[in-house]
Formats: sequence, structure tokens, C-alpha cells
Amino acid sequence: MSISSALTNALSGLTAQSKAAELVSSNIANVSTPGYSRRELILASRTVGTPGQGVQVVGVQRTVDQALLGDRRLAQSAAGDAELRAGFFKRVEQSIGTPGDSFSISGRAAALNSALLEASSHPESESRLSNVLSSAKALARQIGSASKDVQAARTAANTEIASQVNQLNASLARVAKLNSQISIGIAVRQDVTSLQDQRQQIVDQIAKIIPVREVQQPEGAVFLYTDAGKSILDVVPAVFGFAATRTVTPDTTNGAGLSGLMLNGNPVSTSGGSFIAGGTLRANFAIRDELGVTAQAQLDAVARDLVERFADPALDPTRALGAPGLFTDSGAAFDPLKEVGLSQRLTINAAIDPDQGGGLTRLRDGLGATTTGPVGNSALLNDWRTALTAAREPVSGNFMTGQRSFANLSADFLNSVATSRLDADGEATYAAARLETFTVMEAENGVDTDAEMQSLLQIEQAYAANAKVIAAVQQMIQAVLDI
Amino acid sequence: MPQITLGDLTQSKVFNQRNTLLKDRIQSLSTEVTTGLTSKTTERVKGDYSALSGIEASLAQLSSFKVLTSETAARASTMQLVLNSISDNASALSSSLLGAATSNSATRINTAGFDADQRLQSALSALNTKLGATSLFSGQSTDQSSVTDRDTMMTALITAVSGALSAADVETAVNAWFANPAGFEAVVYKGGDTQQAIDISPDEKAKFDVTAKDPAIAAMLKGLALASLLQHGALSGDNASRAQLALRASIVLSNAQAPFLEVTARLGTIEATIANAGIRNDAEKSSLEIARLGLLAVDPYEAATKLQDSQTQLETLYAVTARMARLSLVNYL
Repeated sequence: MSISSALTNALSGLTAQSKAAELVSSNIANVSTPGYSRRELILASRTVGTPGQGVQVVGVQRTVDQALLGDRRLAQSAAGDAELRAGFFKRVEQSIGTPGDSFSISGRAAALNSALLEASSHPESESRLSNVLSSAKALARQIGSASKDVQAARTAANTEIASQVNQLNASLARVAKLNSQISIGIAVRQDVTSLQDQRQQIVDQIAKIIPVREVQQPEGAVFLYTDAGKSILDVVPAVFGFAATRTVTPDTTNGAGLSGLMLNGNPVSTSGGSFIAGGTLRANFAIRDELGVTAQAQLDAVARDLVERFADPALDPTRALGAPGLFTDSGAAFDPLKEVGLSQRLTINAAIDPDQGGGLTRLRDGLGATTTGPVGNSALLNDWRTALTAAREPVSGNFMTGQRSFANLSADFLNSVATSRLDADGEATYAAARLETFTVMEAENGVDTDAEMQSLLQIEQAYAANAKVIAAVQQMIQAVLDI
Repeated sequence: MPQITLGDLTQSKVFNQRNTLLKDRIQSLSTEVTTGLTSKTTERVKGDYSALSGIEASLAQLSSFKVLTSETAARASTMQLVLNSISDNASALSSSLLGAATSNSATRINTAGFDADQRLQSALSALNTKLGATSLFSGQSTDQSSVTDRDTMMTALITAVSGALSAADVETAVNAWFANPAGFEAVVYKGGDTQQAIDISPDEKAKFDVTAKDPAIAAMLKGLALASLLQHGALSGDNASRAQLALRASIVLSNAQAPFLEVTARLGTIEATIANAGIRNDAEKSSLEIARLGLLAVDPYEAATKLQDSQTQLETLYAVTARMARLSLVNYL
């Protein structure tokens, strides 16, 4: 029966080449699809009884480098983490402002110093005194707005955590579902490559949030572990829990007004050693609970230093004992127990503000003055200025010990933020470069149209040859029939 | 058979990266070329803003000191002019009084008395000179005139000398009135205590402690007032005593010159301090500006060269991208 065998062989060749053409077309169609893995046809010669029974399609293979994929995902997590942190510090640095920017905290402090200096030469001048008032207000406002920016960053992180936790739960559930579909598909010998592509893309999404490692199971499923080895998906997906809150204020922290992270109903740590460390979820927790809190504490310490400088009992004898100084905590005297959030409540004493029923003359006569003194008296104005520039030890904020002027304290605050920003930037640059390298390496395994066209040429040729075989067989059979 | 392939996306990713990198570099270099300053301040100061912050704070303070030195300089020189005019008045009057006293002529004595009255008037109004809204000799009460007008002063003085029968009695009464806190200081001086010193440089102050009640100025006013009494009918009818009074007034005036000169000299010292402070401030400002440039400046030649390099690289990248895009087997099939 060799003629009919030849016909069968040729037919199997035609089938295999059609399948190959199908794959080539699919590859070319997806040349720029992100997350698409190039398909290859696996062929083998058919052996039914005797060898040489044509060609058979063994299966379709996705070309995926699992090790590279894993590395790329870890790099992606690290890059996301570093980028978020660097972004936070950059934002804080911008809201503090660098010296030379007139809107910076140190620029505002310098402006207040200048205003006091100029007023001391002409204490009778209304414009000079009101300049003192407006510079003092601007300084208080600048510190307040920096604090608002810090809190806005914390709020954004908090909101982001909520949406990431939702996304994480949804993604894990979808991976679990795809796992079972793929296992079934493989069992019944279906083409599961698109499902696998889809699953890979979802795991990529998870990897942006938590650094994750994928472990292939023999039946086609994947189990997911965090980089620290904690299982988040085996047969059933883990469920993360987080209670979203709308706003974050200086006095709300993790556990006190803000939700922590739950895993399958149990609270888990979100600090540096946590199993989520290394991804954007952890970066958001870090911004909300650590970096943002530290920045706020330092800002409050700067605000406290400013308040206390102008509330010295030796300064301004007209002020009643315990009464607020030039800068106040929402109009009241500063209470050391209520330091948290002081920077947002920092205001000017209403006694000197004509808009709040005060009088500018109290800047030179004293905050508690009831009568107007000599208009050319600059003694208190000089004292205010001395209070601003005197060397003083900051009480809080974990600043290095040592006395310094207010200008130096604000510079030290900026230094600590700027140094952290540089470190974070360095990390981010490194992580981004690593991610780029892996991404490029991954792209190298992607669809190469030249190679596809080349194989298309081969397919065309092989198809034509198989068809030619059929034509020849037909002639042979015809020759027999013509006898 | 394993195929060696290179995914199409590789090229586009690599080109993309290079493109972003080059554009970013061109962006920051073009800022540096146009401003001459680094575009990455934090990176340049390595996160330590202490020096820069100190420089900026000092520069801001120096610009205020510039305002203060020019204001105080103007003030000192105006005060100097006022004092000179009073001193000139007094010495002119002193000699005319002496002439009148020795001539014993009633007319000349009357004329000298009239002259003295006028000069007292001008001395008082000179002491009331304002610079802008600031009264110069009123101490802290810069909104007040420093002295009262001539008529108030002379009315009080005439009451004080009433009953005096000799030139010596008149002088004693006038001396007593000037020494009495309820006299000159209460009636004539309208200002307040002396003003606090004004900072004119980081470590120098200018203290304007000259007020209209300064003993040297008061002595000068005393001489003028003594002579002016001639015009206001003191010892009228007794020509010899009036001549005596004119002589005594002339002596008081010339004796007042020396302490008055000391006040002028004191002001002169303040003027010199201010001028020196101004020069030092300017010098400090330029050296701080140079230091700031040292911290932030970029070498314009280097920046321009790098910019040119990056531009060339970007153009090459465009050319390569375009060429590579055309290189596809598809075009040859």
C-alpha cells in the first residue's frame, strides 16, 4: 500500500505546513504585542507500526526563558519601589525649596530677617512693619504648605495601597482560575498558549506590586511565592485585606487611624523586613508609615523651633507669662505635648495682624502693649531679629545635637531630605537600568519578522513540494487506471 | 533545530532608551549652557545645602544692609548739614554781638538782637528738619518735631528772666532755666530718648545719639536765646546792661563752639563707619557671589561641547533608526 502511504504522508506534510503557516501568521500579527511569547511548532516523524508514516505535529511551544522572566519581574518590583521612594523625596525637596528659591523655607526665613533688619532702621514706617508681618506670615505658610505636601503624599500612598490590594486579590484569583483552565486544557491536549500568555501578563502585574517568583507545576499550573518565600498562591489564592481611609493627617499612623495589611484575615507586618519588601506596595507603606512620618516630624520640629525662639520669656516683657509669642499654634501658646502637626497649625499672633484686630505697632511696642510707645523705638525689633538668628539647640526632630540659627536648622532639614533623595535617586537609576537590560533581553526572544519570513519561505516551498507529491501520486494512480 | 533570532522589539526598545537618555541630557545641558549654572543643584552639592544656604542667607541680609547703609548715610549727612548751619549762624552772630557790645550803640545792639531772634528761629527750624517722615533730632519720637517754635521758647524764657535787673542776673536766670528739667527740656524739647543703634553690617552698628537736647546743642540755643532776649525787651532802657548782655551772649556762643564741634566730629565718625561698612558689605557681597558661582557654575565650554556631542549622537540615532526600519526581509520578497 505504498502509494496510498505516499498520499497520506504528503497530506500530513500539507497539514503540518498549514499549521506552521498559521503560527507564523500569529507571530507576525503579534510582533508588537507586549507579553506575547513567540510560538514554535514542534514536529516529529510519525511512527505508526513502521517508521515513515508522515509527519506529526507534536505541539506548539512558547519560547519563554523562565529564569530571565523571573529576573525581569524582580527588577520590575525593585524599580517600582525605588522610583516611588525617589518620587516622594523629590516632592518633599521641592516643597521645602532649595536656598536661592525665594519661596523656600530658608528663603522665607531670610526674607523675615531682612524685613526685621529694615524695620529696625525705620520702626515708624508702616510699610516696613507690614513687611515684617507679611514675611512672618509667608514663612508660617511655607512650613504649613510643605507639611500639607507631605500629608498629600501620604494620602496618595494610602489610596494607592487600597487599589493595589484590590488589584492583587483580583489578579491572584484570575491566576488561580487560569491555572485550572490550563491544567484541564493540557490534559485534553488543547492549545493553551494564549492562556499561558494571559497568565504571564497577570503575574507581571502582580510582580509590580509584590516581588514574586513563579514555580511551574507539572500539570501546567504555577504557584506564586514572594521573593522572601511566602506563598501567595498555591491551589487557592491568598486574600489580602486593607481598610481604605479617605484622608491621612499628621496624627494618623499605622494602627492609629490607618489600616495595616491583612493576609488571609491575619495582620502582617509591612515594615522593612516584611515579605512584601521590594515592591511598590511596600514602598507605599514606607511612604505612608515611615518616610512621610519622619518628614512630618522634622517639619514639626522646625516649626517648634521657630515658635519657641519667639516665645522666650526674656523676650518682650509686655507679653503675659505663658501667652503665645510671635508665632502661635492656631493662636494659642505652644504645648510640647501637641507637637505633632504643629507645622500645619502655625500662625502669626493675631495681636500684630490688623486683619485680625491687632496692630502693627505691637511689633515694636510688645505683643501685650496696650499703649503706643515712641515710634522710633527699635529695641524689640532688634530682639526679634536676634531671636531668629541666635544659636539654639533644636528640641525635637532627631537633628544632630548642636546649636544653630533658624536658617541653619532649615538648611539641615533640607540636607536630610536632599541626601535621602540622592540615595533614592541612585537606587532608582540602578534599578531602572537593570530593568531595562532585562526587558531588552526579553525582547530579544520575541518575534523576529525576518526569521518568520524566512520560515514562511520554507513553509511555502515545503507546501508546494507536498502538493507536487500528491500530483505525482495522482498521475501514478492514473497511469495504473489507464491500463 | 534551535533558531537564532533577534526580536523586532529589541531594536525599538534600545532606540527608545537611547533616545530618552539623549533628550534628557540635551534638556539639562541646554539649561546649563543658557544659565551658566548647574541644572542639578542637589547632585552638585551632594545633598549638603549648608554652604549654599549660608551664602544665600548672607546675600539676602547684605541687600538689606545696602538699604540701611544708604539710609543711615543720608541721615548722617543731613544731620551734619543741620549742625553746620547752626554753627555758622552762631559764629556769625557771635561776632556781630561782640561788635555791637563794644560800640555801645543802641541801634547796633537792637539790630544784633533782631538778628539773634532770626537766627534762633532758623536754628530751631533747622533742628526740626525731617528726612522723609523721620524727624532727625527727636530720638525715638521720630514722628514729633524735635523742638518747639521760637515764640513758645521766648515766652517761657521772658517769664523766667522777668525781674532780672542786670545782665548777670539775666544770664543766671537763663542758665537756671536751661538746667532745670522743667525749663528747656520740658518746654522746648519735643522728642524722646535717644534711638537704638541700627545694624549696618553683620557686626557694625550706627548709633544716632545726637538729639536736640544734647548739651552741646542746648548750649548753642542758650547763646542764641540770650541774645534774642535783647529783641524781646530784656533790660529795656538800660543801654549799658544791654551791651553787657550782648557781650555775655557773644561769649556763651563762642564757648559753645568747641563742644558743638565734638558733636559734629562724633557724627563724622558715624558717617565714616557707615561708609566703611558699605564698602565692606559690597566686598563681601561680591566674594559671596563668587563663592556661589563656584558652587553652582558649570564650565560653559564644557557644557557647550557636551551639548554638541549629544546633538550629534541624537542625529546619528535618528539616521540609524530610519535605516534599520528599512532593513526588513519583507521588502525583498
